[in-house]
Amino acid sequence: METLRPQLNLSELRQLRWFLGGLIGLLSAWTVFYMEVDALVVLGVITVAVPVFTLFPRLSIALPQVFHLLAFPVIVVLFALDIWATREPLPAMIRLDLMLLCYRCIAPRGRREDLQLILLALFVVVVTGVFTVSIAFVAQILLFTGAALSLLLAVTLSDGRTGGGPISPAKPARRFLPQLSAAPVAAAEAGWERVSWFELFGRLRAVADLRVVALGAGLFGGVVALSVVLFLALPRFEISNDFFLDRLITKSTRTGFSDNVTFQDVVNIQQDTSVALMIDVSDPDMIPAEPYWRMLVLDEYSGNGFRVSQGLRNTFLSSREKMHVHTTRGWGRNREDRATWVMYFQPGVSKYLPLGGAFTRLTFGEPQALLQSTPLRLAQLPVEPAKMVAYRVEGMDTDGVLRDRDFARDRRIRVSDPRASFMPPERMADFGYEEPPARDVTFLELGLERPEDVAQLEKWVEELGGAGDGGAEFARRAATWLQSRHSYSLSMRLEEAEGDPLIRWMKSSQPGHCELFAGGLVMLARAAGVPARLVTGFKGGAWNPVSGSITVRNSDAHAWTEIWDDDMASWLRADATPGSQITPTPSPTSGFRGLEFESGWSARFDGLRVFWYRRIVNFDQDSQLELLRGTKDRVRAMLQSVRTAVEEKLRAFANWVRSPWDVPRVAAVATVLFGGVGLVWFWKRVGRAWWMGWRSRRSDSHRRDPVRIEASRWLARLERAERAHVPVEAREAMRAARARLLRLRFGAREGWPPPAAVFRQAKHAVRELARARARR
Amino acid sequence: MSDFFSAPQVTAARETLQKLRMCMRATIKGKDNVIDHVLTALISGGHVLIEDLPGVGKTTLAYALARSMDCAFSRVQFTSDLLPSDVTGVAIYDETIKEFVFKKGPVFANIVLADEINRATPKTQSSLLEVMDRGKVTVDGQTHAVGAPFMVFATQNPVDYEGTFPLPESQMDRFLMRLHMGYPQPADELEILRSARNGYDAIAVSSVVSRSDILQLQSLAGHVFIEDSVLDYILRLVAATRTEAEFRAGVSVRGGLALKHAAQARALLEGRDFVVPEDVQSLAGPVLAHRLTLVRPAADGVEERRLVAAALKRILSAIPSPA
Repeated sequence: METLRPQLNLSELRQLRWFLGGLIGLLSAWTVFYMEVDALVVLGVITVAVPVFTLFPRLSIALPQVFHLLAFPVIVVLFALDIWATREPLPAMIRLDLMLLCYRCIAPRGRREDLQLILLALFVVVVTGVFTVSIAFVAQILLFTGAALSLLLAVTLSDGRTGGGPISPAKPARRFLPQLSAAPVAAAEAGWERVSWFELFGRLRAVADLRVVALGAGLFGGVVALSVVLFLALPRFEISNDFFLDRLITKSTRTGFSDNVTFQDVVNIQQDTSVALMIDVSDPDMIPAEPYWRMLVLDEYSGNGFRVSQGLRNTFLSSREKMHVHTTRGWGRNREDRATWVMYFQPGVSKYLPLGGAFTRLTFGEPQALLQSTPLRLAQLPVEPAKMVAYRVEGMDTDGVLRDRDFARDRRIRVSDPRASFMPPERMADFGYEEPPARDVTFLELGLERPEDVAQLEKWVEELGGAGDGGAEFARRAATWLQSRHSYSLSMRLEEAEGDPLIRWMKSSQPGHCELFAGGLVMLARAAGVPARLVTGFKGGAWNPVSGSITVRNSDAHAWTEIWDDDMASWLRADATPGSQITPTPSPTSGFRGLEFESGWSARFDGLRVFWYRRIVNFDQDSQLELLRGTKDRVRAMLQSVRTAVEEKLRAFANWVRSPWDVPRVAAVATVLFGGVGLVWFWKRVGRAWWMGWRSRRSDSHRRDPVRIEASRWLARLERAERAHVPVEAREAMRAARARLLRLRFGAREGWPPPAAVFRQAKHAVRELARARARR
Repeated sequence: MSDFFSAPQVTAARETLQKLRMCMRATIKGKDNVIDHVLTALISGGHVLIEDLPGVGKTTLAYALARSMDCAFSRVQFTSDLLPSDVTGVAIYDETIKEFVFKKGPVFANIVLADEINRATPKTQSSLLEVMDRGKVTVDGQTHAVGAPFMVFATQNPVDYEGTFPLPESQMDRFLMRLHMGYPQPADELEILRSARNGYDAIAVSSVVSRSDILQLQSLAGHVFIEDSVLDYILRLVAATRTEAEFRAGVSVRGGLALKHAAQARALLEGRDFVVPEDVQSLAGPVLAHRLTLVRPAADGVEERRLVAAALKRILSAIPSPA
């Protein structure tokens, strides 16, 4: 049944285009927030000006002519200055695009300018798309696409109204202000800037044909679904690492996980509750009771914190980065467990990759430049990543024990031959050594300037009984000693005085944070002659039951100590912070149940994010095969279960039929059968008519009247039947049926014949026609 | 109040109209379609403009209609020197009673044939406006009602425009339909030739329906039911003429109403108390065509009629009818 749809006039279409243009401008400009491009000023101007000008188009008309004349030259000059000052082409181009976008959004637009706006917006969106993997961006780009398509539709409709003629002239009288060349169009659009948005959207709702909207939405959804299917089915390839654009944008570190950690840095990171790391574990039972994610080892005490010494950097940290690493082998103990850990490391945290300890294999989704320190069990990217980095770790040790045979050998040499500590490297061969054995010196340096402080430390070590029974035992005693003197607090107040701040804190009974406990333990151990180092990273995390993954937040940032134990020939994790286990227990795994559980909407959102990373961002060929296999297995299992269920039902039915038929059983079956047939008959004769009549009486609109709809269907059927030759004997029946159906379809309800009887009559007429044809 | 009326009323209306139809068909040969349109216009209380060449039976048609229903018939031959008072009547001074007496003009009849209406001056043409619209004549401040039913049959020659005054759009809009008689089929024309009739005065038609019957039918037609989707359909058609590039202006609101009333009348003529889309489709041409003006003027009336009809046909085929 046709319904009349009013149409939007030219003025309303212009208003709609104006609104959509503003929306597109805002949506695309805001995508720049995902990138580390310094464009806050332009973004601020866009965020304020575009909504204001969009809501009040009269402001745009009121802009003076000089504004339009100067806009473009000023933008070009600003771009040139930008390039000259920053020497970074891409950020400058993005800023240029934003300036043009801003101008296009606030200046009056014709068709050509609308298309320019879409192109400018598309540039920003595409560039952002290369850099970001955020799920919010996906929502934004879907919205942008919808708005852009709507704008194109509105432009086309405007063209249709003007008979395909230009809305804006090829050569406008005023160069930068689009004018309406055709007088009728100008007249039709006159006063468009006096817009009442409420009325416009009311009109839009009135003119919108739900079927067309549904069709459009369906087509859009179909295209998105097709894209998803193509994404899942096409062979994987990765272009972003070879793409030059990401190298044009540099990113600064937002947090404190750098080579130089001063006291309070980790505490500052703890203030940030955003997600730092998401971990997907193939076997959740392998999660340790207290998971520690190591990122950086710091050795040199600087008086107000720890840093990576030059010696450590030269000796342990590789200066030559490996290019295009896809898979790297590590130093894991090749344990039997096959657990794999997929880490989704968020941007803006650090360039050091969090790891549980040693591993056997580290695989990136895409080839990656990497620096790797075998002795320190560290992996480092050359620069802090601007987007999420995903990597898979296999055979990862999480027990807090890092074996180091080389260090053990060097240490044996140094302990047996104290001269080795002080010999110059070039004279090593004279003493019969192939390489410098003094690598543990860096882990024994106290870095204290005042002898009093050193003496104080030695005194405490003496009180603790020295380290004669090994590093592990000493660490336990020293940590317990520290915990007995200090409680834990994120805020530390140490009065200004002379002397080293760490020693002063140890001397006091002030509460302290993790860095102080870890630093104190390092100093005590070194004073006792036990190599020790400070480690920063994350401790703990929360289990997300929605995605089945671990979420580690920046608030989980932590600092702890690694202490050398000669007996174990290993670096042993020692955490002196109250509330932690000082040294790891022999059976450290407790599974995900040992972790805190996340709940609520944030857990759902994080779960969605993990799904996004798992299935979309980190969707490599393995994942693709895994998904396809999984789908195949699930379909097979489903078919199998359906088949089993059907067979079971058939067997049961066969057994039921085979069982003896006595009189009560026959009677019961007959009752059910007759009852069913009776119900069907009753429904067809009475129930259906009553139901249709009831709905017809209740329908407030002719369009939704079921009787009229049914009559319409029958009329169409009769018309189809009458297309071929109608034998004479069937004509009268057809004519009568048609007349009564027409009354049902178009007549007043009060004059309706019984609908059910009419439909039966129509059915008979069609059958009669078929019979008459068959007879011929 | 419901618009529904009873089955006996519909049956009676159909019988009355059938009698009228058969009576006219007996007089006017081979023009069943034109007769149906004229009856439709009569029931809906409208007026008809017949555009055709002289001698194709326009006067006979009007006369036969008047005679079939026992109505007064008058004919006015419009010429350039015809005065409005020649049409409406004039007040003259009566010496015997010492006052002005209104002498009714030819418009005071039930069926008025305004022959070659475009030959009269616009002033005279416009004298018909009031009476066509209201069924009343005002002379010297006195209003006089014309007969009821009242129907104007105006004719004009579509080819010969020499010395004519084309009807203004406002007046065209007051005609419910514009019809074309056309030449009869050879068989019908042979029958006409065989008959001994000479001129319409020789037509012997006995009235088959009374004037009151016609008035009752007119009142009944207004109550014929129109379902919403059919109204929507009419509205779409009218709206389409307004956006069609070939037309200078679309159909007015009065035009839409005329189509609705005509469709109701046709439904009654077909013996239905409800309108179907077919009623609208069959009447769209006669009711709407004369209300539309082309952007590019045609060479003559026949060409214009053809172009307008083609555009209307296109609109009709483009707009889906309610199913």
